Amino acid sequence: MKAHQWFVEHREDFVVGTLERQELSAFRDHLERCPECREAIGEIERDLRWLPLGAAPVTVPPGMVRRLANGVLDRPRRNPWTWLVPAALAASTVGAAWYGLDQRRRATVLGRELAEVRAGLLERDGRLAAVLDTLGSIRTANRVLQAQLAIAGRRATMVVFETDRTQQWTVIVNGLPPAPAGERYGLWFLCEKGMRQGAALAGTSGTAVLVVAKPTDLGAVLAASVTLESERMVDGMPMAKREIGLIKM
Amino acid sequence: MDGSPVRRLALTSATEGDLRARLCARDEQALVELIELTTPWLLGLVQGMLDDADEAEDVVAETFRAVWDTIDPAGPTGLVPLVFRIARNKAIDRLRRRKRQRNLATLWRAEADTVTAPAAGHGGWQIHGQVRHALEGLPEDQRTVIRLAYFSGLTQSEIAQQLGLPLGTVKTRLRLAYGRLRRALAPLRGWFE
Repeated sequence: MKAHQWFVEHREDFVVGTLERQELSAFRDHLERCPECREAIGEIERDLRWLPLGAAPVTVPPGMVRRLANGVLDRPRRNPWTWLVPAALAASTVGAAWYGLDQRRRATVLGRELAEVRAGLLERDGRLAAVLDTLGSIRTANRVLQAQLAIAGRRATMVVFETDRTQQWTVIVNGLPPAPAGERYGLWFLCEKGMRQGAALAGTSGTAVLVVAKPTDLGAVLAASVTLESERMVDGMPMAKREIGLIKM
Repeated sequence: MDGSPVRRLALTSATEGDLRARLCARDEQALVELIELTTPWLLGLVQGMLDDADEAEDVVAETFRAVWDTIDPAGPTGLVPLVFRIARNKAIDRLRRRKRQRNLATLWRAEADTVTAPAAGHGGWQIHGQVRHALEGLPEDQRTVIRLAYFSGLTQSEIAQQLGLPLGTVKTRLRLAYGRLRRALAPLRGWFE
């Protein structure tokens, strides 16, 4: 699961307001950078906008409607002299308009250039958002675990940042060679009540980052095993696999 | 405000459009009509969340002040849903501030009241009927978490604690419930278009 996936899975929770304070703050930050999530949030809000009417109506106590209306309408009026400031601003705007006519053409050109720059920035923002999400997970991690992986005489390093709040692992793997043909790498959680695959890992000579959800229904996670396993599956399990590294909790 | 008697309104798309236009024109009678139309539902929602009638009235009053101060002819469609959203957000803010943990008995009592209270006669009761139908179509375990999340304003971890369930189970049930509700409430999407 990529960092963005966490936000995808919690869009409804954001709309309904069930996120914890820290999660809410992270989600708001993310929304500023992610037009896809903003659009999806709008859709969810439209879908669920009548849900409040699922609550039963309450008989309004006598006089409350009038009291509520008075509470809105009988507030102190604005100081009459406060019109002076907007009026002065309006006057200066009109004056500037006279001198600004020849500037309009230049502004149009600048506006076009600005639109191009903005489009480039939006594209870069998308990439930056993914990096920031990952960095945010690392920054708020409650535990850091490390393991050495041995494969075909080469050594690779895996670092895991565990976040209690989101029940996620942000996994950074460095130096893992491409898996042999017909095989792939796997990350398996070994829990009190069983074993579950967390993710498939891509071999890369560089650094790979992925976010994995910790199982919450199999009791405590005791360890995680990194395996080299067959791509062929039998009954939902790889035909063969061997461990190349172990992360103990 | 001229003190003239309040008309009993039905909640229809036309009523909404009319109220929005008149509110934008600073028609004080329109504000009274909006209060008359929505307050029974707002109180039902907010009292269920805050479990305090006085505080609920404060939230409803703040909501109408916010609507009156920010109403915009070019704003998003759906005046009544907007009013609900403002009220619910304000109620959630208060809940989070006071961090009061209500006991499960209180929550269940609120749910029982919700099921039996009469809704007919209030503007909007037909929509209420459709939403109730959607909620009742949920499996019981999903309906329970939706009630605690949406109508009681609990966070996911508070729900997990209240029900003695793992957080992951609560998340899963909520996700399934949201999916079902969105499908069930889809016919109401076109209400404004």
